[in-house]
Parts: sequence; C-alpha cells; structure tokens
Amino acid sequence: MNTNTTGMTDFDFGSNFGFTGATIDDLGATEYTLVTIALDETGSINGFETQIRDMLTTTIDACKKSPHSNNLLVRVIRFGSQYKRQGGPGVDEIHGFKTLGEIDNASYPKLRGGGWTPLNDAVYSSVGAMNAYAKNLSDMDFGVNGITFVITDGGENDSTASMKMVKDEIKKSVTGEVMESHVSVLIGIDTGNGSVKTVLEKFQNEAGMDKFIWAGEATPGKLAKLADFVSQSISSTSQALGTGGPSQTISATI
Amino acid sequence: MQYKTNHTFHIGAQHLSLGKPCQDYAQSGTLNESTAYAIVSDGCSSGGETDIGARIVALATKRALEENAHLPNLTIERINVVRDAYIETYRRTLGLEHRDLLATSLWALITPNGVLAHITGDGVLAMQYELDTLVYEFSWADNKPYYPAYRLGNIDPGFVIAHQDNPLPLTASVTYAKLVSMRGLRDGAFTEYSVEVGMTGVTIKKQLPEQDDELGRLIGISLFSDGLTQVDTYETVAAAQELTSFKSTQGDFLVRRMNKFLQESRKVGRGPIDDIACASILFSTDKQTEGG
Repeated sequence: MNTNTTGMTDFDFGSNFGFTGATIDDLGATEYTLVTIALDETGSINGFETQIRDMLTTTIDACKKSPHSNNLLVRVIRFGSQYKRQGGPGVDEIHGFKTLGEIDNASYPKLRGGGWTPLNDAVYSSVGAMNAYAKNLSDMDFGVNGITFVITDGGENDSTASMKMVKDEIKKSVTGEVMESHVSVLIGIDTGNGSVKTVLEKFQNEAGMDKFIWAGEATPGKLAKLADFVSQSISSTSQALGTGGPSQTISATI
Repeated sequence: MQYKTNHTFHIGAQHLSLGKPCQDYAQSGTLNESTAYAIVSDGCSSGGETDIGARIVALATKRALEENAHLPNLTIERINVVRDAYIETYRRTLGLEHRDLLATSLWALITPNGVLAHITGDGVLAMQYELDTLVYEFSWADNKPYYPAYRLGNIDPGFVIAHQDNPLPLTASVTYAKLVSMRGLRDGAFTEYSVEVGMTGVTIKKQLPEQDDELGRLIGISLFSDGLTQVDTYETVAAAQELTSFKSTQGDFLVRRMNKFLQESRKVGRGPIDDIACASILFSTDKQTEGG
C-alpha cells in the first residue's frame, strides 16, 4: 500500500491485481458506499463506444445530484484482452475509488473496442478491489457497503482469473465481514453480434452474482435507461447504508 | 503539542421509543495551537425542553472557554461564572424557563499548563494513558444530579432538600480499565462528596506532559454523559474502553467509533438505553496518537 501525490493510495490484492483508492486519512465522511462500474471495451463494442461512454457520464452526473453524493466512492474500469501485460489481467483502471467531486466527466477517455473478453478478470478486479478497500475502511471504523456493475456484450473467453477466484471474492463480499452489504450486477447489452443473454445468465449463476439484467439492444434510448437504472441503484444502495441490509429497490428489469 | 478533537451524541432507546428528542449534546475543538476543549451536557429527562437546555449549556460553556482559556490566572470559577451569564442571556433571549435548562455541565480544557476538567452533575471522564485508561465515574444518589440551572433559578434549596437524607450523595469512582478487564475486579478508589461540595462541581487537574510510572504518557481525555453507564449488556468501563479504542485519529474519529459501537452493542443487546454524548481530545508530542 503506497500513497501517491494525487491523494490516492495504491493497493494490491490477489496476484497481479491492483487498484487505487482515495487516501483513507483524507476522507471526511464517516460512511461510504463503494461503487464500481466495469465497462466492456472488447472488439464487439465497435460502433457503440460513444454511447457507452455517454452512459457512463450520464450515470456520474446523476450520482452527483444524489442526496448521498458526498458518501459515494466510485471506481471505473474497462476490460479487454488488449490491456493484458506480461500475463497480467485484461483490466485497465480508468480511475480508482474517489469522491464524485474529484471526478471530471470530460476526463473519461474515448473507448476503443478491441480484443477478447476477460470477463472473469473484470468481475474479479471489481469485487476483489472493493473487498480490499472496504476492509481497510472498515478497519478504520468507517461504515461501508457496495454495489458493482459489470456491463458487457460478451461471455468470458480470455481471463487470468479463474471462475473459482471470482466466486470466492463474491462470496467474501456478502458475508457481512468486510461490507455491511454488497450487490453485484451483471448487465448484458446486445451490440448485434449475436445474443449472449443465455451465456451471461449462466455466468451470473455460476459466479454467484446477485443479479443479471438484460438491457437489450445498445441503442441510445436503452443506454440512457441503463444509466438511469445504474444511478438509481447506486442511490438506493447508499440510502441503505447503516441499516445493516442491502437496498431493496434494485429492479430486475430496465 | 498537537490536538485532535471530535464529539458526537446519539439518542437512546428510551427516548426513541417515547418519541422524545435526544437530550444530550457535545462540543469539541481547538482554540489555538496549544489549547483544546471538550464539552458534554446531558438534559434532565423530567425537566422542560432540556434538549435545547443541553445545547445552551454546552454552547455557553464553549463561549466561556473561548473568552477565558488564554488567561494566565484562569480559574474554574471564572469559566463557570461566564458560562452561567451566557446561559441566562440565551434563556432570556429564547423565552425559556429554568426548568428547560436543567442539564449537566462537563468540560475539559487542555492548555500548555495542563489538563483541567470540571464536572457539574453526573457522567464519565476517561483519561487514556499509553498503558491503561483511568475511568472516573460521577453519579448522584437516586439519579438526581446537580444542574447549574438550579442555582440560576434559585431552586438550590429544593435540591438540597431532595438529598437531605444522604450526607454524601455524590460518588466518584476511579477504575483502571485494564485491571478490570484482566482481573475482573473493580480495582479503583471511591470518593464521596457532600451535597454542598457536589453543587460546586468536581475538578480534576493534571500537569503536562503527564507521565505516570505505571501508566505511561497521557495521550487523550474523553468526557461522556451518563448514557455511557446505561448501555445494555456493557459495563461502564468496557463501554468507555470500546468508545476510546480509536482505529484511526483522522477526521470524525469519534463519530465513526460511536457508529461502530452502536452497531456492535445492538448485536448483543438494546444498545444505549439513555441518550449518550461524548467529546474527546487526543494529544501527541513526538508520535501519532493511536489507540486500540
């Protein structure tokens, strides 16, 4: 664990996986909802990059208007085999867990589809990093819960993390030992490369993720609804913080 | 000397179920690089609008400390006289009665000259040393503590009569927290006070740097309302230890500790039955102050 000059601290977990998070000593609130949004940047999203990025920025804007905006720490990652380095995971952290006030929508990079789908890596990085950061917060008496969204148009085909690693991290996230509650949501979008709905449903069940949402075709209208769903879910999760249970209002459909 | 201060207060199960407000209040802060304060006030349940009263007493105390802490010949009396003058001013401005102001007054001041703590009423003072915590518990017979507003409203005689059958109604106990947890003993000292002495309040003074042969260096001081003594399934000393076992001393360290304590105490019981308030000052010289 190292603190850098940007107010962020570097953390490691598992083997070859890492993330950054706001330096805990600098945090002002007493409780936080951790949010991770993982975006598919594989070859099949070609032509939909702008819409997916817009979905992300719309979500962040909506979260900034939430009454609990000061209690959110958001991490955004993208995944695709093009990010693999020397046998490492196919995940790139756009930014680590940071407060909304420190997120500038304009700084989100343009997505460029390419490579295979390291879905295991995406979920493992999302949930594993959240577990590790939540443990650090909890050890310092902060109240913590979390919600994870993994948005993809394809099934697993190129990861360094195994399904067992994914399952173990998800299981750990819901024991109540590191987080008060955690909800993991797999969201499937149809980019016209053949429906992967069944494949993703199977992945969600096998990994033990809480929900699978099929958003359908990746049209601007559908992605706007997806942004609304994600921000609403984040809001209800942050409202549930301190109650000891997960939020109850996450819809199974968009 | 550097200080870190924080305070918090929380409604107890009884007031929550009765639909009453939290009648405890706390304040803390630093006045300059070498001066820090902690204040706690607990409103009387059978008084008037003592939720406001507790806040007025605490805020009046804060004004008195702000205006007088720098005086070289500072006395307890000076602080309390100024506090009482402000209480009266606020009472008249808000059109309140003295029964609305029935609230305890616990305050602690750290200056280069040392620690000065004063207790009018009941509550708990915890002095954290490197090796142990001394827990001072102040309690009045029949749970009838003295409030500064009794004097301001000229209702002192009624208070004296209420305790006329007990020549020593105020008890102060001092407990070594670790000795209790290690040996299961209340290995402390008890002092009893007459009603007249109790009405003037009890003062505790320490020179700084406070270095005890057995306890090590003094690293923090915390004040609690008597709600600390009424946490379901917790002994007072254990509750004090839990609430001062800070995992981090950054930001709202005491608020976080209280939130965690509330969660934990409700897993094994009903949590605080009465309202609970606390205020802490942690100080360090050459190294970071860390507890627990």
